[in-house]
Amino acid sequence: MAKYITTRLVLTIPTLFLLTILVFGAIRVIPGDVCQLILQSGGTQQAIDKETCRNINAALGLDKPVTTQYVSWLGNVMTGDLGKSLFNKRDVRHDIQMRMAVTLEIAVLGASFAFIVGVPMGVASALKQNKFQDYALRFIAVGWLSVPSFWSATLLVTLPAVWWHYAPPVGYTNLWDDPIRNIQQMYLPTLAVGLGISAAMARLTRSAMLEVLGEDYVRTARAKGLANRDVVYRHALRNALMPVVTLFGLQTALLLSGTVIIELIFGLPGIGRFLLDSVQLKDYPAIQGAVLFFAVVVVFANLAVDLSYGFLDPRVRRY
Amino acid sequence: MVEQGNYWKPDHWMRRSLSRRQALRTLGFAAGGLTAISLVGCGGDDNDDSGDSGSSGGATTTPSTAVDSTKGTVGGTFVQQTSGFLSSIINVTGGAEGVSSRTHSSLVSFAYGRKPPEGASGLSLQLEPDLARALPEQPDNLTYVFKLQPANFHNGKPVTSADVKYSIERQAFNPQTRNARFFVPWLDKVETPDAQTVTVRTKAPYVDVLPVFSTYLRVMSKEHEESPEAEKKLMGSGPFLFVDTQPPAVMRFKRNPDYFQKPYPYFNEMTLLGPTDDAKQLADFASKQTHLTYWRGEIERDRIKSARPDATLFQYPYSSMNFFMRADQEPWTDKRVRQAMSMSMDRSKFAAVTSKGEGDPDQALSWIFPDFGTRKPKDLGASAKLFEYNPTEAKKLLAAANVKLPIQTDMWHWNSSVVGQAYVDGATFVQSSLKELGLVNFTDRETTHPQALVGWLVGDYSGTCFFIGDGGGFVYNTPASRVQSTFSAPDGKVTTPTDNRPHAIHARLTELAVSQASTLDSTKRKSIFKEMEEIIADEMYVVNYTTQQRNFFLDPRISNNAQVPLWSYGPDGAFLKYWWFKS
Repeated sequence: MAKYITTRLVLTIPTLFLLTILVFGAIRVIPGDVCQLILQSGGTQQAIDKETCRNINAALGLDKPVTTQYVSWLGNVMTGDLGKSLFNKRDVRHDIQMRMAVTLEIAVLGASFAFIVGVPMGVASALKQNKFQDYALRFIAVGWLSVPSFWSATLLVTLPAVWWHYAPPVGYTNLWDDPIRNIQQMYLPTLAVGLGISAAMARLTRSAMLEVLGEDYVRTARAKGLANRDVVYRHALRNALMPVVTLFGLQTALLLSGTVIIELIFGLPGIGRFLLDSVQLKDYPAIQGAVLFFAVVVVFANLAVDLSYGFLDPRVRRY
Repeated sequence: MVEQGNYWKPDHWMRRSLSRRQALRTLGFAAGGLTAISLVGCGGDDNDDSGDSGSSGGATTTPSTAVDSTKGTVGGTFVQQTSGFLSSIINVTGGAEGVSSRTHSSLVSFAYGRKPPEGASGLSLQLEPDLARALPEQPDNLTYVFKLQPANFHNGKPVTSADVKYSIERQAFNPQTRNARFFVPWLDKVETPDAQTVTVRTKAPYVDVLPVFSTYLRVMSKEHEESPEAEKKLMGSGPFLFVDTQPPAVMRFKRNPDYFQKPYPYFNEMTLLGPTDDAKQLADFASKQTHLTYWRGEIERDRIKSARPDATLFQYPYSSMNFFMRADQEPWTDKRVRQAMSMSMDRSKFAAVTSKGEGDPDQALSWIFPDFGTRKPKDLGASAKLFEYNPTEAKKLLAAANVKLPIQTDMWHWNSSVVGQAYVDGATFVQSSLKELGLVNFTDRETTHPQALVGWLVGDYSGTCFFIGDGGGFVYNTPASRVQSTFSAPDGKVTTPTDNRPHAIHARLTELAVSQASTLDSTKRKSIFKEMEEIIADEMYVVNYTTQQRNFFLDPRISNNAQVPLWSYGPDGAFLKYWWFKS
């Protein structure tokens, strides 16, 4: 198992290296000149002389070749320094740390909701195949799957406000400062993010369970006289979870990208909004830092998924 | 004292105060104050102690009764939705100049926000002293002498003339600060004869000196601004102390018990919420968690009215969307072609598409603030007919100009994420209308805001562009520089980046646009604007459509409130120190 873990960990290094190139290169394709954006960010335009722009670009290090900028940035990233914002000169790592809790909380709660709701739905649907419960659960799952998260979020915000004049408390309260208020603020974003993913997991769990329930070893387990519950949960579900966990890893990226719009709709100060604002401002270090954060989370989430295979299927540990 | 900046003189405005009924009656006439026009269609606040009664969206019929603004009740947390994003930029010169009106003081400020005396309007453009003991002495047209009153920064240290000099110079002479442009055209130097006196000298007479000092100059502590703390907190001498921020969603403040203007402020705490989705803003206001909204369009306005019929509605007309044509590129070089574009537009249909049919035809120097002497299109004499929908006449003009139809051209505009879908619908309507008439085939060029900032917004585009206007700058309190930059071509040429989006090169127009900024006599300045608007209308450098609405909602639990000028809503909020919660 140690070798398996080591191999997987080592493989993340080139992945992350390629990611840094992508992150660094891609944002430089965005049209717009940083100097002009800085000088004109207030509304009415002022005439900008080239000398001023040259000085600003030099001060920001943007006058150097892109490769030099990349190497310098990468070197700093290796030491945990994500640079300073081009606009406010603040430490990007600090800004990300400030917002990390919000985004991770939405992601973790959304993923937990998806798992807690989606897997039992899929199992129940498979166990009641082609019965009313199966049809009902599949109908619900398809419904949730069809609704984009930004739309469900808008409905979750609007309808209680219009019907009952209710909205979650404004702002964001840290979980550790006031857990009750935090949950009041976060349950709707969690639902918005988690519904679609839970539906996808329910669909996949159902099909995986149906396949596994027809396997020889399940028939053997039943023949041994095991209780139905043991057959389903100890033998069938554990094996059926392999593709579900894989999907879970793949959905991490979707989950994180979903936080961008969810944070905007619910007015939450997370990394998604930070990224959105930074893109608007073409704030290279901030964009690079935020995208790198998302990328690292996705890579490590998939690493966790890889490692969970070893737990779910002992045969994997041999590789 | 030299007669300077007449637009901001107390006596100029005090004599012009109007009741709201009068305001309604005077809509559209070049008389009355900014106040009058800004109150058009305004719902009265139903403030118990004001004597007002009115319903949202309707006109209040009784003049406001003065409330003793020194008899407020301390307490409560005021929550406000804002426009500008509460970025992590919290230093004053870097982008927090709006929100810093809570934490910082200015030398002078506009006297609005609280209930005015009976018969007067709450929207007066009257200036009053803030950190200065009185309005400045002006020994000549180029000199302003401010005497400071005793005040302390939030760290307990006294505010001195050196801090004021530092604040002005930091804003004015650093091209990287966003406000520098408001000082550059006129500021010469700042002197500090003693610790309580600041003398400001200008290079030439300039009409907007005092408004710039009110809105764009926050007096900062040099010690704080040059310390690492400046990155983490706002620290001035204003009515509220900075508490914390969760950018870009939330910023919190609390009452400054040692504020130099006693007994203000009244709110114990204040929370600013950054921009969110429309649905969330509606939900927060419907659930009574926010007390003041940011501006809403016509559709959102009606939704909020339905959800909170008790709320007070402050409603403003705003200048129109506009269609710029590159006057230096064929076929737009011929003014008959530009005039034809204006006559091909059914402005009532445009209003139906973009603003639920509300709004009236507008022109380049928007008439929404008629104190500047600007007029409605129908009052523009010979040019009035150019604003009427007359495709037959338009085709004759195009035929006379020998233009091959349909004209093939580009239209550059923002996407809906920048100023909303109604604006994009407006651009689409213009394209489809002109195409339907067989006049123009547009290639749609939709951009993001960053793209626009370095492209069409600063005059670098091909063909045409579609903008949502600032009415020649009159929606702001510092129109001089905006009018100058939008309609002048110094040295007979236009170079990008420029505010002169039509690339208009017109010697007389340039002369007028430049001279209005230094014409201190308001009557003379109005006559300049009159001549300008006739030239602009005849040349039709820009086709303007219909005025838009800006709607703000206030919770009725707020006392001593009064409608304030449009530019002051959103992140700005010096007036909030006068408001309190009804017990």
